[in-house]
Amino acid sequence: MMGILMDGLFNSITLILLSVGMVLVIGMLRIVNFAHGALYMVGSYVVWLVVGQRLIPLDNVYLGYSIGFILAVACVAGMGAVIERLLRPLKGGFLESFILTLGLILFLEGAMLVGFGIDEKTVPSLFAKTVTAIGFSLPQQRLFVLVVGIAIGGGLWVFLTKARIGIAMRAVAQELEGAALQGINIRYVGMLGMAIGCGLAAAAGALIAPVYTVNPYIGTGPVTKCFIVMVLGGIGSLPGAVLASFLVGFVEAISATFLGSGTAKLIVYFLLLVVMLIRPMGLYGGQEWVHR
Amino acid sequence: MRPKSTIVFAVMVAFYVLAFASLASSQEKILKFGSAMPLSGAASSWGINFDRFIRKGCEDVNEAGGIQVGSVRYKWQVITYDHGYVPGRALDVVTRLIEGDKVDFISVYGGGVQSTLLELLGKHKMLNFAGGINMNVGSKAPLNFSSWPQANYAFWPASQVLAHLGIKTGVFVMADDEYGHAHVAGRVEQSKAVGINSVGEDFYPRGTTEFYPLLRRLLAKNPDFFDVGTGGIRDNGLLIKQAREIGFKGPMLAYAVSPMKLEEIVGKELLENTYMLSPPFPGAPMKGKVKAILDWFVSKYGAKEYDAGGVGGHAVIEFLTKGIKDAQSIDPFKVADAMGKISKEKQMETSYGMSYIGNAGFDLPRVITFWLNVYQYKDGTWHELGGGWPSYEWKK
Amino acid sequence: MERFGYKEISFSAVVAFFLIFPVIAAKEPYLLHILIIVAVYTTLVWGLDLLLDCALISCSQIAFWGMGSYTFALLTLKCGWNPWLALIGAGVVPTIMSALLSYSSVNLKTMYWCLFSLVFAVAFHEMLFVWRTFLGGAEGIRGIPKLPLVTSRTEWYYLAFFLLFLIGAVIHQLRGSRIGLILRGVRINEELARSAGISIIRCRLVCLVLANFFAGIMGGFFAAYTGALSPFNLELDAMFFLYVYLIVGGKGSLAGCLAGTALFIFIRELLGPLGIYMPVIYGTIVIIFVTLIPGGLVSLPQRFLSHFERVKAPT
Repeated sequence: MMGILMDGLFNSITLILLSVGMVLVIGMLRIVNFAHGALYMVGSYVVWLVVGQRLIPLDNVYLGYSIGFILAVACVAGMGAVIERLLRPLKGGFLESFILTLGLILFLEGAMLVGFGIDEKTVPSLFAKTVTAIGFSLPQQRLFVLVVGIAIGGGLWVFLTKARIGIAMRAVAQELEGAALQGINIRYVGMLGMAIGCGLAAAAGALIAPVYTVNPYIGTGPVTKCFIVMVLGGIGSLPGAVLASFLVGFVEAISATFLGSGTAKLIVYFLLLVVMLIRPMGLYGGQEWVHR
Repeated sequence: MRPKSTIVFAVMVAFYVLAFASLASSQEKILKFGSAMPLSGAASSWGINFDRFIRKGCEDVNEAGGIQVGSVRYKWQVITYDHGYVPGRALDVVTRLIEGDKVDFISVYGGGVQSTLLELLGKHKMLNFAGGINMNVGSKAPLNFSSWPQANYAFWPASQVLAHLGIKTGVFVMADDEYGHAHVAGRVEQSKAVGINSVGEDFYPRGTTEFYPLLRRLLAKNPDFFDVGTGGIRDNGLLIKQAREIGFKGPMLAYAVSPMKLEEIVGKELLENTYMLSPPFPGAPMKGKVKAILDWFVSKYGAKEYDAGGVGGHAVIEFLTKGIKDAQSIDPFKVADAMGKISKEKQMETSYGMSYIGNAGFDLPRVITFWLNVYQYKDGTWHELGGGWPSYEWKK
Repeated sequence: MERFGYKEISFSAVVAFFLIFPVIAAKEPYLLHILIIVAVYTTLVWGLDLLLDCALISCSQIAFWGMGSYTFALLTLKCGWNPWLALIGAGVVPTIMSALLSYSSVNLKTMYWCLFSLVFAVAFHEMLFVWRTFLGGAEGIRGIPKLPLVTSRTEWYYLAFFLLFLIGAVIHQLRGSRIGLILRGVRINEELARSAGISIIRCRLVCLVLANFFAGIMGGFFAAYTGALSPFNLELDAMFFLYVYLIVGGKGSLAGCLAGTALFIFIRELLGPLGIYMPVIYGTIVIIFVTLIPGGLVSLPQRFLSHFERVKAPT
């Protein structure tokens, strides 16, 4: 039983990293970045290049991985800035931005496929041992993901609630003009927020890379789950994203164990549908998403 | 010289001249082979490799002089299109191959796209030497052949090994589609024949990477062994890795995937006590045509891209070529008949090793049949345990 | 040259071309097949374009198309309906489904509605895989009956283009009518339109009904034409591609959507064995078009001409 709960927690942490990143990006850009999953995938590829392909020849796996992690976050954050630049002139519409991100997904997936080949890539695990504790066993690698994920989450919370820039970021996400009137440099904060948001996607990708395998399509599954979390929690709402991530993560783990993963997914969708019918703006969504 | 011998001499010269002239004037024609593969999308590694082996097969035949049918010498030409594992696109692509490029024979790779094509193939009386087809579906078109043995047959050598190990109970896992269900049914039946009972069977949607819930459910029944199914390198690898992480200690059976990649995905420690059912792979002991083909592949593309299913592309061309030669015709029905006669008694050495076209019962008709080997991962390397026709040999 | 004349002439030319194409392509029936596919996807893109008129970005057009095709298959195979009636049924079922979903979602703002439709599309796609007994799972449904009276490839082609022109005519009429004026107002400036008292919700419902009905009908057509269905036809990528066709062709323009769809399907055919490069090529084209040529292909002639005019005008 404990094992199932740990599964749920593991699912939730990765979802939280992804969805919080997406919420930040939405807050800054006012549009949904569909290429968020592709950025997650690129994060995994960078780690693979550094650690798996030994692009930077290092003997110490831990050092290699740390460098890979930082490099992944940096690269993807940089890509995020580029994307923001591409999207800025498109004030015209949500549609253009949406399609640009779709184009990005195609381009990134295609580039990885053509550039690095058709076979599944692997990032070797940092820890091969398994931890056995109160009635469950969890591989150390997954525990590592949990610990680091929670640490990042905690750091982010502190940043957003205590640091000046963090608070400024939340202000920009809430009300663009009001924030500008308060003297906040929107351009700068916007870019920073975008970088952090995309960096989170890369961090999730880098953390998960050793757990499964790496290929150009690993982004689509997580990003779809991310959308479910968004819709459930309310777009643009951070607490909504966190709560919904836990909900989805645990519901899926529990129903998958007893009913099979195909049915588990359907249950999650059904849950979403029910919530949508009763409260279409999501659990924490504000009324601004509904027409009067 | 006596007059008689002059005449004989003249006749002989005339004969040689005429024979030479007729040989020189024999036509050379192109035999078009259509290859409809998933070259993009999640199944691309299978499609790309299968196509590579098809082309190599055609090159080999052409270099050896082509196929002589009567006075015509045929050389193969391959035309490849991508269907990305989308049945609608497969329909487009196969329509183009048959109607646009007017191919003589075709190979479509991908179990999920075959049913959309049955009508089209039947209408044009096209001989389709399919890769990865479930013959329950495939046999509905009269000229469908399969490049890979079907469930029961393929599993037989493994069942012998398991019986030898004293296994009594097992759980079976496969991808959740018609092919997967048929496959598991075949394996369960085959296991029962050697005294192994199935205590659990489960299926997962293709694309799943998180198997913990499924594994917790299945392995709670404490089976003696765990069959991870035929889902491909990622499925096999992740299932084995995660099963070990959860704490399963018994033997596991993988299927026809690259052993080097498996080692990479699972990790040397966790891979211990895993068995694999596969034709010879790069690094394993092998000889003859199998060795020649795999050496070529490794030198051109590298061992990392190897996939056992792809090798079938070469075998397909080998069988087709032999069928055309034997039938002395390119009429698909005659060729199909001729191929059907390459039976167990008249096996042929191909890129798979000794193989033949099945006929009935255990050896399904129109299916390339060969014995897979069983390998065991122990102390950090793969050991060959046995396999091969005519009888299973246990090497210890 | 009068603008009016130019458009009418080119439209008639296009119609004439499509009408006599089977004669031109008599030796290559394969080309007819490609154009039929272009017709099917163009109607889906038109549906998307129509929904854009009321500020709806739909990710579930493909799902409703799939729903239409599965409905047709089930109605003819399991319930023994007449295929023509089943075709109508294939249009009706997705419309009803979408109406049910709209109950709570129709007044959501654009971005939110978009995500919601995406989630629905994914859920529907999953359901097709999981529900093996009824819907055939990964292998799908085969042996779907054809439409009686339509026997040869040429006849399928004419039916496809008949449907295409019918749907195109309906949308064109709609856009030209009073409702069309309202839609154009919404398209230009949603906030302003609302403040002028226009009910976005009513517009949306009209457009949703039409777009989904057409998608369903074409789904039924596709099912009858190909004879077998599979959930792999509804992969998310397919939905992405529709938007690619839309933006490159030119949104807001029926001709643009047709051009965009035709262009990409031809590119795909030309690529042939180089399928592995398809995503990169598509992605690059999209990024270039979205950033540099926002009007799409249909805006190119204008741009080209206006460039000349600028050069000619004296300063």
